[in-house]
Amino acid sequence: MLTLLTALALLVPQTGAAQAAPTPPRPGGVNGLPLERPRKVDIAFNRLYDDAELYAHFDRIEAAYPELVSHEVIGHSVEGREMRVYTVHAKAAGDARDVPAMWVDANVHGNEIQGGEVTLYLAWYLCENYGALDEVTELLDGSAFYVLPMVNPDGRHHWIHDAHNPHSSRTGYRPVDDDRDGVADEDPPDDLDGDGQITMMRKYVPGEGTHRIDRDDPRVMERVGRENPEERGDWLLLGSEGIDNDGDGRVNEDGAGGYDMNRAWPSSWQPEHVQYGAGPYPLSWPETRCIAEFVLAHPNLAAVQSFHNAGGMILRGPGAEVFGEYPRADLRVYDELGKDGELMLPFYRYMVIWKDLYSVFGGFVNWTYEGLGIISFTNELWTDDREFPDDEDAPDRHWFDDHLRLGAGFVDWHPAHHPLYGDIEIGGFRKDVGRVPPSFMIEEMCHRNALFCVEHARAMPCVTVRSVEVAPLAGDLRAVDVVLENDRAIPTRTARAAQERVGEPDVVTLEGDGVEVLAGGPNPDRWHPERMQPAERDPARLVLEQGLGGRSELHLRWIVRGTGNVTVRWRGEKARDVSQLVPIE
Amino acid sequence: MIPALSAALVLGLCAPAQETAAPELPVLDNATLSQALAELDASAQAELDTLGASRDGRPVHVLTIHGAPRAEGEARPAILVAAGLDGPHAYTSSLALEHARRLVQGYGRDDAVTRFLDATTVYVLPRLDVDGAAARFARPLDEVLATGYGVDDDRDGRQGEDPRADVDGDGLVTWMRVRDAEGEWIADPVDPRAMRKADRAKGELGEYALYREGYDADGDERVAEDGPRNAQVDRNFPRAWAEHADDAGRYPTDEPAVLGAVEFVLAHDDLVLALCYGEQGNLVGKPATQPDGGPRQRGALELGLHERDAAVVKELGARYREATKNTVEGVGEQPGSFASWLYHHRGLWTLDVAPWAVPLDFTPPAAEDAAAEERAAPDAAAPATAERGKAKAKADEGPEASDDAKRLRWLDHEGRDAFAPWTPFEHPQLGAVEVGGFKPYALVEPTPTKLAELADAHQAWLLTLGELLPRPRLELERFDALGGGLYELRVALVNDALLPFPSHAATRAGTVAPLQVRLELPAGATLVAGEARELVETLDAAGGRRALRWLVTLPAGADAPRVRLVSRNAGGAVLTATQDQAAQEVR
Repeated sequence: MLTLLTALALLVPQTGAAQAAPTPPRPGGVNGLPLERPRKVDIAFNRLYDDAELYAHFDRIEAAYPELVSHEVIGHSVEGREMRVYTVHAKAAGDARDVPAMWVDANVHGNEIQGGEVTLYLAWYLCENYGALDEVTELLDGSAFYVLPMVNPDGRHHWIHDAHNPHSSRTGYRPVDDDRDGVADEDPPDDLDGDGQITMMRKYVPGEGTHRIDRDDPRVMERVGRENPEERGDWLLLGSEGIDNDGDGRVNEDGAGGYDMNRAWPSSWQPEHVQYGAGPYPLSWPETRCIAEFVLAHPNLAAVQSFHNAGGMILRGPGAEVFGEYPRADLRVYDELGKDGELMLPFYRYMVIWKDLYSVFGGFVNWTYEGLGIISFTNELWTDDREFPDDEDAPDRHWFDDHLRLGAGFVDWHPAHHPLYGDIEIGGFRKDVGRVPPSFMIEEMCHRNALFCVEHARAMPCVTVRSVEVAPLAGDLRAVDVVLENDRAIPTRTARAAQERVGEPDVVTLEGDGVEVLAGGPNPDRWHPERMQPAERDPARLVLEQGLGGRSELHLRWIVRGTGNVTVRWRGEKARDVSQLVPIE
Repeated sequence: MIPALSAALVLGLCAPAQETAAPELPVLDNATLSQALAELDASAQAELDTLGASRDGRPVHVLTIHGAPRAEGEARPAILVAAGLDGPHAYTSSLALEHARRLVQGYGRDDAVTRFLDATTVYVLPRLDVDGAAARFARPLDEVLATGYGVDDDRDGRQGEDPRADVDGDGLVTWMRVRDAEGEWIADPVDPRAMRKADRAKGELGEYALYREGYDADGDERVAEDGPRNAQVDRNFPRAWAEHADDAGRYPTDEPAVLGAVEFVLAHDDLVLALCYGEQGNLVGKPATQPDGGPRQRGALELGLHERDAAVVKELGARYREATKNTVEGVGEQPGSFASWLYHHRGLWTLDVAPWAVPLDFTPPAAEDAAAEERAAPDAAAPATAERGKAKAKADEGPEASDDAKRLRWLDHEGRDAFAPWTPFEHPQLGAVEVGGFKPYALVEPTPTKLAELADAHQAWLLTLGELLPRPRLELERFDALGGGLYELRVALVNDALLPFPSHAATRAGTVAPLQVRLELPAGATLVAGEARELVETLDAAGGRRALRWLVTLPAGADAPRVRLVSRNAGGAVLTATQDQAAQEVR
């Protein structure tokens, strides 16, 4: 009641004020939304959605904000689900292709679903705040987001709707003959108790087992014989729920799919025997190929984020030691963003994939940086450090489950019958425990990670003509001194892009009727203009392979003859083109 | 070349040969090749299909050639014959087509061909780079390797603006040389038509700059440095793909012909061996090798045959050289190439043939005559005649000839119209230049007569390959009654072929399905010990055996147990162990 009254109290003066004089929006308490402006699209960010629900929410945002959001279907998954890219950009400010853009995707591993909600939150947050928060308005006017909520919609669908554990349904759904017996996908896990979960199987074998029941918690199985190999327990752990469907003596060895779409990208790709899950060749699955084609067709991409779970990490490449290290200039950008990320994302650590996690060949962010020269991160969402943030000696996850979910995350051991093992018991944590956050912590995860994307996007290059000076030189010659500036952290061409000659170099031109450009080039020493570096040829069109560095200026000098208006124009792939008219008198 | 005769040969109709005319095999344009393939498609032994369209929309053909219908349970091994992997080697398509034609037409008429095709399927991919081959018949004539995705070669922010061109209008894209004190090149004193780099270590000064024939269309003082296309089909395969190299393409399989070929190979698990005609070669020289386990550092570049496979390829090479007399080593394994992918990623036995090159060791008749004279009048006091002859020839010749001078020596002797003489020309940007040099394809293509000889030699050799493929058999080692209706069955799976099953590369990559040996028991029988289905991953060559053992119970009067070999590409076999074969005594 009090809340309602407060809201009414706020609404009434606002209406009056609107008629009198516009009140500048004030930041409110809800995710930066001005309190006086209601949300146009209400989405519950305390739950996770299946593939259809997720797209439906995006569609609601698109319908509510047609001036900011549009989507295209760039391909279809193996099972025929749409691969959708939502473009978030203020259309009134021009074509999204003319501004720097950030790619944000999620859920390449089918079970790592919550990144989808983060991308949804990102789109929603940007739209709700456009026109109200200057930072957001500038961001959507001057740049764009390409958001692909699910790289692996099939994996997401099955993980949510079929029986799974936290780690299964990582793969895509093209059949693979994992056990090489000539038949594909014929021995998956089986939901023996029909509860929609693949948990564990155990069998009571008094005095002949490898495990015993923990004294303090009968749900926990403890391995015996660690110190005394002779020791025996009363229980055998028999692995994940399942039977030997194909009669080859093995259980659950050939489930659906059996590959990893984050090992499929062209840079440092290695075949299956070097990198599990790589598939027969790079981009062999339709999901990966259509994304690659989209990315290659959008040279304005200047930032990449790919959401995974879990562990609380802000990952950058290289994926493998054999690559070496990234160029120093690019590492400065990575380190700056990574360290900001550590502050924005409590319990997340900024890490190098191969050094701090494990080796990955053919990873997506490795391709987007090593192949395409785009500053790229992978965030591993959710870490169970978040369960007990204050306690170094935290109790186990059963304690958390018992006290904060009232035990809803655990399937208690219960009897079942197995065709091979006979009487067994089945039990264990549900699939949504361990790698995805509990419902009450989802929104915080979404907000912090979406805002890390915003932080990254705001670092995309923005070029301005900072100053132009025309000074007389000998005779009727004039010197035109131009200072271009990129005030953002990311260069217009990363060191990697310049080193590997990726994409097109930046080009600066000076053109105008009646004015002849006799010489031109970088002028690195403002006190000694004679140290300018005149271009060998075509002085009116300077080609800059290295581009404009992050937070740096580029001093250029032209020597011209004649009078009239000339235009200095900078063009590049990863920032909006700029130009300025310069009268030469 | 006589077009009518060539066409007749292509169609396989033996025109009445003139007594003195040696058979000829022409290089085929895409339309003629397609037509010839379509005619073979009419045969009951062949089916023509396409891998899809090339980047420029031309069909990429594949022809399946087979013998008698497969017996039930027979998994017939297959050989892939691939040619025309790049534009300059368009001529190799004629070799592939000849294989196809002779197999189709020989089936049922020639015993060797019939036997071969009844046991081995052949897929002929005669021209992978159809767009490159189109340049072979275009004007101006140029050798075109780059048919795929184009990049900005000279990094000026423009793409494809300064291509090669036929500047002097003679219909050929050759070379231009310009007098230039800063140039690195000199005319070879041995043969001033040949250009070689000045040897500055010996005090030689460069006299010429050497350019591809073309303009400086973009005014950057560089000539023909940014053509419209860059990616090469035979550099766009996933194996050791050279990311960021101009010729590699945007990503492996970006070129449509490459994707088509990759999908074709993946869809044909009957393939055991590939025969690739092109530039690489691994049968004549000593191919590069690497340890069986691969590199020490995970993900490091792997090149070369695994040692275990190299031993097999060495033997195949010896047989190849004996059969074909080919001495061309080729350029070796290339990153991103089809052959490299077939071997390393798919585990196929991959035989690379570089069919022809201009010989560098040709001795002109004059020198031969001198040597012969030496032999005719031996001087007891002199060193060994041949060596002395060589020493004399060398002394007579003066400086060592450059490779191009050596090539010219042979081409002149053969009377081939291979070289455009350096001719003064007023170039619009460069001023006074000379246009000339080797004509396109002159150093790549054999004559039609030589091509016909190559086709003969390689056809005979191809037929020998069928015999080498593993087709394991089942051998009953023991079928003993142990008493009480219990029997012991021992069967060996035996490979008599020269090739082991499969290559080490295949074992490593896990790309060849294992052999399955299945025990089939009659009603009422039980399996007491052993696996009803054994997966055999490897089988050694030439007598390699894998012993399998089962204990079974058989009711009296039951049918005999059977053992069945099931494979994808290594034949098939059934062995019936009748109780007549069972030793009745209890041991």
